Amino acid sequence: MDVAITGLTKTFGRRTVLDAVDLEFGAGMTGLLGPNGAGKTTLMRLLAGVLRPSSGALVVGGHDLRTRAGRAFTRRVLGYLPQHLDLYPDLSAREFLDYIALLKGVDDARTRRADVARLLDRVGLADSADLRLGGFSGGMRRRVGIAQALLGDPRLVIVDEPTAGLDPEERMRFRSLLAGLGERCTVVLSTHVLDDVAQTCPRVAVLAAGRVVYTGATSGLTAYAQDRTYLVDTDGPQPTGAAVTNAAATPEGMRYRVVADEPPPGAVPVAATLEDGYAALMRDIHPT
Amino acid sequence: MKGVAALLAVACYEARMAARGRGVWIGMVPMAALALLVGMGRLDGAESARLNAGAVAEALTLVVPVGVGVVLADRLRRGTAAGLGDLLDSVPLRGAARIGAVLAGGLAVALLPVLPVTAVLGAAAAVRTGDAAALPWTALAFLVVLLPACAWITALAGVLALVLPAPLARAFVVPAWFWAVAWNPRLLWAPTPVGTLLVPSGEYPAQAWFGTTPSWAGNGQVGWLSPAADGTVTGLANLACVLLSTALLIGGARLIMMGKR
Amino acid sequence: MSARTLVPPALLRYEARHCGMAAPALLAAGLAGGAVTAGSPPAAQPALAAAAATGLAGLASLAVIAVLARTRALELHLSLPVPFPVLLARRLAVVAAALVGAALALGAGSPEAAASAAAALCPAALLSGVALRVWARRHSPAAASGAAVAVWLGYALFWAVHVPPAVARPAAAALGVVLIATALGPRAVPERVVEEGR
Repeated sequence: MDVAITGLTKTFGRRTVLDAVDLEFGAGMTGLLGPNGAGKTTLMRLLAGVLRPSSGALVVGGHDLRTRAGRAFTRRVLGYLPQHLDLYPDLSAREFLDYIALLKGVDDARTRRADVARLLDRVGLADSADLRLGGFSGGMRRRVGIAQALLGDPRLVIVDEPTAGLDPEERMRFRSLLAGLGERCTVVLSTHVLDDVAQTCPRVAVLAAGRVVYTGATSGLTAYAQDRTYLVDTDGPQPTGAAVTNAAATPEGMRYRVVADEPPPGAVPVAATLEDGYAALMRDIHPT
Repeated sequence: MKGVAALLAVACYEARMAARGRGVWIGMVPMAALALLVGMGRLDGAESARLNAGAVAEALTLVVPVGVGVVLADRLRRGTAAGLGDLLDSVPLRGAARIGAVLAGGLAVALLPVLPVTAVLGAAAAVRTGDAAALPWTALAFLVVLLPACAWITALAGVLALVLPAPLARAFVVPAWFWAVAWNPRLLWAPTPVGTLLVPSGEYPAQAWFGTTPSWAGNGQVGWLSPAADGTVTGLANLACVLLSTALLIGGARLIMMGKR
Repeated sequence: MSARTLVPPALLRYEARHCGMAAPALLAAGLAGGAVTAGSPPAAQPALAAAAATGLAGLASLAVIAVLARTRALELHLSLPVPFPVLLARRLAVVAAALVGAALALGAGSPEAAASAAAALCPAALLSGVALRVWARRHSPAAASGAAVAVWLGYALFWAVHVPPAVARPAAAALGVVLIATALGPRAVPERVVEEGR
């Protein structure tokens, strides 16, 4: 399911949240990164048909989301996990998924039951399936949210901060779930957890202040910091003129991981990670 | 002194939140329009400015508190939301005083649309009676007749919403108010504070300071609680009872909130 | 997944559950009103029936607000194939069915059954329309409740008193239908509400 975004602009009053965004998503997984307020959630909501664009085009599988028919088509092929999902507390996990499956048009009760049971198992909630959602922990609720996004065999999956609140084990389970999905449909994953993107998304787009500042291979974003990433051991102040991506206390003082154009005194070059690449990109956009 | 300043600050911030949320005062705008209609219907140019002010305040007190109770029902409940209740209980200023300040802030915003209506009614009374004193009399009637009633219903609605789901509490506020101020036990018997010193309808103060003729005051179901409306003493006694029951409701709210932790 | 003309019964059951106690409470209120009216002295029955009908109409609007306030996962619903106004309409249909049952129960206990039921149903349409319209605009139960209660009192104190029932009731019902229809338009949820994350 190809998604083409052209000149997409979204304003709320006088505030421009997305500014002439051009992006394309094909089959497989694409990560969407960016600082808070970059417009990621708004882009996700536009893709899901929850919001309408102020201008520009959004085409999903050849259907224009500006038209009613286009939005109806998208809703039939979509699995969407919003950033904030307030579940019905009086329903059990099984009932909630059954309800959403009905709303997605899965009318056959046997198919629905099988789908729901399979997804509950995949998100590790089979044992809690008949407990009310009101008593679920944050992580369990998030897993229910992930399961509902996968109901009805969606061809486009949009997940906004899916791993927020998940413990490491749940996060690993979710990654493998998404990786399996990415083989047969288009998945757009918005997150602040760079590790999730590094592990699952071959492609990535980075938004900053409503504009696309990078789109391409995830390895390309990592390469942004290649030959610019260093470890600095010091008992003095933090290195200046560099983006610090990590700091740890050592018996001798502090060890900083930095991204800098010129190596700080005593710096040791190291291999860059996606986090370093992201920091380098952000530093280039907003030099301090 | 520091405590008073803190309470004022709580009331101010609560008012700010209620005003920004807009739900409270938007919900009260239609009620203010209704209050204008009700109040205009009670003006009588042949009577004194003082009597007009009392009659208008009494009429407003029948309808305005219903709206106030309905729109403010969830103000205390908001403070028990996940994490927020624990946070608020961890600060030095807590207890019934803070609850009172929270309700006062919300009440101030809820009454904002009613204030211009009161001013218009005061001005209309001044024109109809030809007496400019109608304006201060109307303001005084607002303070001693309408405001205590609104405070009482705000506290009651807050307590109801702590023990019931907010929509159900809103639904209960309406019959609760009419039970408290307008229930006719001769038509259908039920215990009610109507006609007693406990009634929040403002009948006693309106008689005491504005010379209105009470419909029910003195005809309550409990004889010793239902003295005939007879000037300042009964007016003050009724005000004290209404304010005391408001304080008791706030104390009850505090206990319920503590029990919920 | 073709366009469906029939709503699966399983889905209707879920929508009825999402209404919570609003529908049963409305039915109970109608039954109680009918029983009290029927059991009261004949002289008091007309006044009680009128009060109960007006009360039921107001309760209906508060029941509508209760159902609306229970709506969760707004953003998710907006992304699903069933349009959100259709979802709301299904839930409100449950309340409407309960209201009709309650009005009939109320009428059964009154001297004039049909008139009593109409006295409840017509203003109920108006008040529910007001509640729905304000909620659709602001998504605030406080605003919707305040507006509905004000119109409720206005109807009871002025409209129903000064306008003959033959005009007052159909006019209220017609206005209510218009308000409901406009509130359930394709843009039932303003973008502002989505942005505020409700």
